[in-house]
Amino acid sequence: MKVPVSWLKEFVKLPKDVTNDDIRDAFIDLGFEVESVEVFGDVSGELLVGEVVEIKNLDQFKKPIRFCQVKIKNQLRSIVCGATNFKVGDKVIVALPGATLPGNFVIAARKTYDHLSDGMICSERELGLSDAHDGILVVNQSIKTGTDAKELLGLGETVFELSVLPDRGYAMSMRGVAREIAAFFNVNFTDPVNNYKAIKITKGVTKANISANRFVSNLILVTLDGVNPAAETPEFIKLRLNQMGMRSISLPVDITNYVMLELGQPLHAFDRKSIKGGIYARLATAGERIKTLDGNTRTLNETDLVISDSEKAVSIAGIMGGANSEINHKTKQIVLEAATFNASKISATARRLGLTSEASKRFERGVDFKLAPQAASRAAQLLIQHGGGKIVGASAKSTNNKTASISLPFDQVRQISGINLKAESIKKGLSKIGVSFTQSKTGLRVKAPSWRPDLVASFDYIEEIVRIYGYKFIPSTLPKAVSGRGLTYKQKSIRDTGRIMASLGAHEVLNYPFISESDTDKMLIKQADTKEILIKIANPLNEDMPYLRNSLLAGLLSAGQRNISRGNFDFAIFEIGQTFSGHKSNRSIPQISVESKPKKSIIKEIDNALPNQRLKIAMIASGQAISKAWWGAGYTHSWITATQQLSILMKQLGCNFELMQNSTLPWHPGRSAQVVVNGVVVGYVGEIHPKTSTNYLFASEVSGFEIDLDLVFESRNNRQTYDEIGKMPYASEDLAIVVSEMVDALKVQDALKRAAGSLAESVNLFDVFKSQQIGEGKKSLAFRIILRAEEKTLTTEELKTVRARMIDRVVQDFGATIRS
Amino acid sequence: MSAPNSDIDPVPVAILSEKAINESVANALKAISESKDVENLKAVKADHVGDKSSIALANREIGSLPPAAKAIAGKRVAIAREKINEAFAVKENELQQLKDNSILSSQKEDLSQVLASDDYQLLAVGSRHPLTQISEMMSDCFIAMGYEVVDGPEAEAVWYNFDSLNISQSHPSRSQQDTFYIEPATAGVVLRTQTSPVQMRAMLTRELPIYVVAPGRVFRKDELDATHTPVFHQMEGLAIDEGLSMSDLKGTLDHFATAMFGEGVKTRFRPSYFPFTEPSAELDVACFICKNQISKECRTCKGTGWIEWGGCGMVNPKVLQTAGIDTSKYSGFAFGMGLERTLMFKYSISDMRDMVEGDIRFSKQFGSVMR
Repeated sequence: MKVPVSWLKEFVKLPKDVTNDDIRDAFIDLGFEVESVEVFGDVSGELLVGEVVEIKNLDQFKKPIRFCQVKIKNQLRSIVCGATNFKVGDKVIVALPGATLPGNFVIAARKTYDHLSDGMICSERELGLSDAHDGILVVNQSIKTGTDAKELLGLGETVFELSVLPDRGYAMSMRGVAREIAAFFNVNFTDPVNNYKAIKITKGVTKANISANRFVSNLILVTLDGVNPAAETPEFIKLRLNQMGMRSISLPVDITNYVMLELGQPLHAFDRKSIKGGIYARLATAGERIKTLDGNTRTLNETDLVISDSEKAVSIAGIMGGANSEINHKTKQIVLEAATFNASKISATARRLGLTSEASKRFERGVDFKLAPQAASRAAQLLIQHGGGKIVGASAKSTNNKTASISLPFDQVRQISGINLKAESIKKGLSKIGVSFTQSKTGLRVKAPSWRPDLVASFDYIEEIVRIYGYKFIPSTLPKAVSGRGLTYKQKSIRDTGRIMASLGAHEVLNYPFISESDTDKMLIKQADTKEILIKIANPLNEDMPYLRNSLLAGLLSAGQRNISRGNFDFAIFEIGQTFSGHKSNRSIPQISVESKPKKSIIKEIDNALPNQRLKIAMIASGQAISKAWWGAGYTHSWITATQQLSILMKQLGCNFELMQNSTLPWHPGRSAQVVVNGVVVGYVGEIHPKTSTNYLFASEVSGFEIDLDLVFESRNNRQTYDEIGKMPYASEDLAIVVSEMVDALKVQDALKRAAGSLAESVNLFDVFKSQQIGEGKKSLAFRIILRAEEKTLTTEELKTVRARMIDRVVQDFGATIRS
Repeated sequence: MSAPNSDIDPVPVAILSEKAINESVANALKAISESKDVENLKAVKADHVGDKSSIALANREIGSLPPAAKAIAGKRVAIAREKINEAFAVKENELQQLKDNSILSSQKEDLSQVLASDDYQLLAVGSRHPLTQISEMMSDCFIAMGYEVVDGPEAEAVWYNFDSLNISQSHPSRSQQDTFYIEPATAGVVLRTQTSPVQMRAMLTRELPIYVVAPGRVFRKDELDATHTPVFHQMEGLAIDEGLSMSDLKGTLDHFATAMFGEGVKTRFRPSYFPFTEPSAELDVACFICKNQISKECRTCKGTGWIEWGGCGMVNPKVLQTAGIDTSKYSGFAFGMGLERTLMFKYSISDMRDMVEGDIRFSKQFGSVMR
């Protein structure tokens, strides 16, 4: 909504010291975002209206150049002009030497095309009025020469552009914003509607009929005859339309727009000759078609509201008129329509058709339901005044609209606002915005004015009271402190997980949860194979990515590839995020009202019907874990580093796990393992299947892990205990144990630990070795065992015994031999 | 051992004479002081106190002296030896130190090499995403005020996301142009468009009073560009208690803004409209980059002096009724803000795409410690 200051001032007498900046700040404080403050036609110096009295064509130049004599008051000026769209007798705008036009364009008397040009005849563009056309601006014949064009055209005027909230339809008019500004500056507001008498309803010539009563509360038709089709729109109307971003079209159309901007009531003018019979406000029939004024043909359905004559739709109600009944250059008989339509009805149709207009923007937000009779009358009067003719009939159909009154206790106002407001200031605030009330001891009974359908409950009124009082005067207090219990176990665990991963050198990324069919292909997973049902989005942003992820890997692989393409070759990245999967059986969300609290069983039913949503963590790594540089060799990310990262994560979280042979895609069938906690598979670790990493355009191996954090957190050991650290001397024993390749190193380590018992402080695999020498299908595992007793130094004898015990155990358990 | 016969052989031993010993000492000290290095000193030591040194030879003669002379000569030789040994020790220490120093200085390294290889890693250093960190930073503010953190599902029932929050059936935000619907679209499940459904969940399940914040991921059908992303993060707060007012809301957010952006940061309320709250307000913070000085050059606030931060208001009684909360006794306030936006203006990040593309250079800059 654009607001020219001069129009505002017609309805509000602002104190002299109020500047445009003050008005802008007032709008902001009142809840209107000021999108721009424009100076409309920023000019200085003398700009006057002149009459062209002589035109001489100068033919010797490549383009048409005309040497004109222009009369301003009694003085003649010669001006050279390149435009040809004016003739002798036209009134034009002349910028005299010394004037400055927008863009710092200084006008001077100068010789051009062999003639002296003593000023400039201006176009709209040169005056900064519009970009619409290049021709010279020709103004109304009736304007006297010498008239100040700055005033005439509103040049140099400040125009505010406001964004109006969806519940404030009344502010889509000068009447509405002027009332707000008056309230803010605490000055009188002159309601223009009070100056216009409601249209007198006679026997209608074109009769109004409403068949869609639920959606149309007013339909007023005013028929005029004898309107001069050639009548020009007066300059002040053209100016205002222009300032507010609308084009001048024809006198009747301009007047309907002008009245809409002034009062907020959208109006429509029909060519009466195109109307057959009466006018009906009805629902469209399915498939009904209408060509709208913008030249497009629209197909309607039975939920759309139309205005029709006895044969055909002549407009989409409240949105746009039909081409079939458009005012034309011969129109003498006009039917003006002023109606009140249901807000959500108009908004639904506008959205469905993707068609919004100045009218629909107002109807969507709600139009004053008492305004139609006055607005119709105002438009008819303006039309008669500037286009001649007379009213030959007016027909109306209305249903009674009323606003209910509700009670508003003073205490509630004070409690909710936190401001100790006096009854007087509450009442004053409400009066300023047109709310009527009666007072009792403890509060008010309030009733909203017809232009405020948004005021329904007491809280709506409280907002208005505080708004007019000033949000900036709300004090700053703190509620008394409550005793919160801090983060939950799970919330802490999620933070811990992220910190541990960062400490392990991985960078956190946050990927979109959308995946494509090609992602499952690249992961070598056939949908039919997976136990999980993917969740599909009905209206995805990108048609190629309609699924919600059930694994974080696809997102990480894509992000990893993006890093490589940008030159980041060495990385470990991780994500902690929700994953989604469907239920095997159909579950549906129950229908619930919002009138009261739903039962516990219903709440549970809703949750059960939602997709499975599990929190997972995944990491992928590629390139070097330790960079090769002047300090020596590097170390490449592999299944080894990934497994150690996983292991540290799980240990730090306090979750015991085992690894089991794995052949689940997209993991490498040899170099990956299932991560098992208490017999439940919680995830996978190792190298990504080489085909998958190739599919994601990785040139070298990618490793990583993915685990279900919900499962891990559930099975965590909450009680952390402490083992005393030994202070007696330690002894170190090395054992090279030859076992079958099929034996897991972890099992051997475990056997050694058990055999050494409490003396074993640590048992670590430091070498793995395979060769012909030790035999086919065998491997040598070298362990270093650190032994320490709690309270004494171990003797050589004792060490020998422990060593023998360990050897016995691995020989017995795995048929091992010991290499010496 | 026979004692020497002073009568028969009273001749004094020349090399034991005071003069001879003094001369040996002087020679030794001179040689020591002239030693250039530890090796040379070793040789000097052998010459002057070794088996064949004059001192050693003199010492050998002591045995044949008469008892009285024995004591005198023994003392003389011992003192001489001590003098020489002491000098040796001092010199040896001095030369060893010189040697050590020269070895250590020859081990000089350019430590700046390590800094010059900044982007190469020997030790692993990771990072957490700035959005995660700012979410924790924001949550921690409220935890300190006694709030608890709550969360909820990202695929959420339409009832929680819209109906229960007083968002009308015809509200444009419900359209398929704005909201992701899970197939089939009629099933009533969407990707939540706000974290507000978590507030409704909290109201339905928690004991009163309620003081919670809900940080989380939300989804809207916007194409990704510098200032929009279809997947983003919000944090919303909700307080329901007896007697809560707009001034409590203002005070809470003032406190929060100070914690986030520094002492003295002001906030501003502007009237607004949200279905979930009534009265409603836009929350602005005074620009802490240009210090609210309203200058055209400030990129953060675009010269307005204020930064739009979020929305807030008093919980609409209709919403409280849906949650079964007695509106005659309880009132509440709610607020919400975008994490991406907060991150952008707090750290002058101009392109939102950097947050979603997973480029490690983005998170790396913040590391694990965000200030």
